[in-house]
Amino acid sequence: MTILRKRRALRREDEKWGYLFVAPAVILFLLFTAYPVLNAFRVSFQKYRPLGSTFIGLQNYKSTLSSSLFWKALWNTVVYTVGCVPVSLVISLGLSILLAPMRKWVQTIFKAAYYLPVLASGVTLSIVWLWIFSPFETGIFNQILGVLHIPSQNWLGSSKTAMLSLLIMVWLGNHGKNIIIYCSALAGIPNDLYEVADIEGASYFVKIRCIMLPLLKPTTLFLTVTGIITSFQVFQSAYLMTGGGPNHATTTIAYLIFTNAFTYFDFGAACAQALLMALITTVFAVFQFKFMGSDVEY
Amino acid sequence: MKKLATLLLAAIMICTLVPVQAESEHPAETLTLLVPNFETIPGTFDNMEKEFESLYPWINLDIILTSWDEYENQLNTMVNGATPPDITYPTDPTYIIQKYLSSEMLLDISSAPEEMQAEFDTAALDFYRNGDALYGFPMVVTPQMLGGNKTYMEEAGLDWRKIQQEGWTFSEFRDAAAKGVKKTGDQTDVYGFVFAFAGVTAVDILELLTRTAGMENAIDENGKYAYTDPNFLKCLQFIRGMIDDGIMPKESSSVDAGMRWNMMLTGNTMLTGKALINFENLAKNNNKLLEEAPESAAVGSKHLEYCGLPVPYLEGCEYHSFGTVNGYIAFRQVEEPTPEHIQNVILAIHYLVSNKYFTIQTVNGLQTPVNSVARSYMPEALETLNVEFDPDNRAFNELTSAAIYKPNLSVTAEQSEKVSRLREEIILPQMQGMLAGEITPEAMYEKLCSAAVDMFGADGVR
Repeated sequence: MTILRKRRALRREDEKWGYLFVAPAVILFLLFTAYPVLNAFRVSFQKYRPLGSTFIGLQNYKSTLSSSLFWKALWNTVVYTVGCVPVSLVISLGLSILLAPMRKWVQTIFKAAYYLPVLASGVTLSIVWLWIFSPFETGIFNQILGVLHIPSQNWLGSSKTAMLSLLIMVWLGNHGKNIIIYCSALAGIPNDLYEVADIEGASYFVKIRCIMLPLLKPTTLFLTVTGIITSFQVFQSAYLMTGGGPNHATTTIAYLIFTNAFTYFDFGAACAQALLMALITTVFAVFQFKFMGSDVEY
Repeated sequence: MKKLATLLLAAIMICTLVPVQAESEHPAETLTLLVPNFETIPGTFDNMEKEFESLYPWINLDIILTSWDEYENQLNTMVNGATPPDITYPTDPTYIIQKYLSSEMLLDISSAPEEMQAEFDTAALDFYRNGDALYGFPMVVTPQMLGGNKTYMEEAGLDWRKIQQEGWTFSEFRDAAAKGVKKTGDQTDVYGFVFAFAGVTAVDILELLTRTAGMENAIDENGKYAYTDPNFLKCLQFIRGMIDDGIMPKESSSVDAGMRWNMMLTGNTMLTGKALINFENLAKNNNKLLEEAPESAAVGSKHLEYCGLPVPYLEGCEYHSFGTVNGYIAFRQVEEPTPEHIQNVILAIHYLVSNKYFTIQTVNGLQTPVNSVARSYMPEALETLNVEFDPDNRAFNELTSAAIYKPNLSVTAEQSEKVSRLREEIILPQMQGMLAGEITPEAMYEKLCSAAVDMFGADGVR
């Protein structure tokens, strides 16, 4: 009995320390994640006013779902996500596979170079991109088109090319995180498998198809899920490069939420839209885990 | 001895009571002031703060200086978080007042003494009113205009002085701008007119043209939405027509403010917009650099003789210039404002718009204060600064300042919210599409009319 009591006392002592160690993280989570989410949920049922909001039931959700602009923004967000995530993954994977056989110091230089744009401020990068996309002959892309005898394009000013321009920005400059994660995953593949493949006379492409791709599946799933979540929240490029235009061609859900909150001060509608977006993203993530993650071991 | 001691004690008591008495008359208060940094003469804010606190020692001004880019977002966040600054410097008071009406956070200072209100030009003070309430005091009128290259205009046979004095109609402007276009083969070297349209500035030109096309305010004096007026369509056709004619670049939808001024400096356009009268200073500075340190001047720039020009008006309509009447507005806090607090805010705002240091700065920018106290400092300011402005530009600035539009003082919070939605959700995106050549002016006008009828009802539009 005494031993049992001592064990229980020790366990309680351990539990106390455990609670103490997780407390900072839990407090931060409650303050900066749980509370804002719960508050957003409450505000989504209100007509927000700084001096006293009024409860309006499901009105914000109804008006959001009946707004053609919301559906257009959702469509734009889906187009952006579909255009951005798979292409980015293919480019990142391709570059990582090219980097894999290189020496460590060469890999480090390339990884640093690819990661550099992530460290630069979005505003600074947007200034560079605005110059690249300049509609006049001075713009880099238009100079390239000029060499090919193709007329200059109004990249960001036309609804036909505005979304493509935002996608080009991602395709050409946003692979740092993905490359680092893929390179780590590639380094974790046991060499024995490659040796066996060599003995069997497999070509490099067969190794990619039969060894690398299957073993990179958990990484690909992770990057797909996080990529889709990030793409669904795209705001900065739309805000800085096109202002959601022209003619709402690049208005994304996050941009719409921002407009509702800070142009119309309709925080209720903004919260309702944010929660709907969270719901859509969750549904996507669940589907991905269900269908892509069925044969993934963690 | 006893008497002496009693007298001494009484004297000490009186001495200690006097400050207490003074303190109880004016309890100390700190007022927060959010301002974008518009200081053009270094030390202006510091000097103002020092002088103010010596005049009103019980009020402490806590000045939050922010950048122009950050200003509006910061103000929005503060107001909607129910912790607004007590005083702020709106970029466009009418717009900001109407925008914040529904928040109920604006502070009515109409209790300001009548003699204080009488110091202001009535037309300017009206920009700070809505209904019976007064939400701030004005400092200066800053008319927005167009800018021209005098040399190019003279080469094109245009009398810019006459235009400054008499104005020009839409069609006269279009003809004049067409004369400024210079081409080498298919390549346009000089455009007739370049306006900053990129992003959210796409609608700026409509702010100017609607005022000269019989639509002084989005909600007219009869409480109806005005932009369904057929004249709105004429404004759109006027803009699109100039792009189609090659007077304006076909890439106009991507021309931003920096680019349009750069095109002016490099001689790639004869006319530009929107402009301010003190762009003359920018041109002069660059001209000086071209002479003294060409490597520091704008790349590819040429000597520019700048002139301010009126916005063209639609035939048959009266000319009204658009502009901002800069000044300060007041916000309340969550707790009910006390009469003492309102009094302190009034004293602070009145000082901010009528002090000597501010007057010196406005004179430097060729602006005239709209407050008689501030104007009394002008001779001293002119002497201090030795400002040299082109006399024709100065005369034109006065002329166009006097023609500033009259704001509608009876716009409700609900109407204001609807106007804002139509502007952001219909006019801005459609305008971007129209500038890019993807939507016709007629289609845009039809879409606007139908959205306006949905929002205001058939009887609620012009």
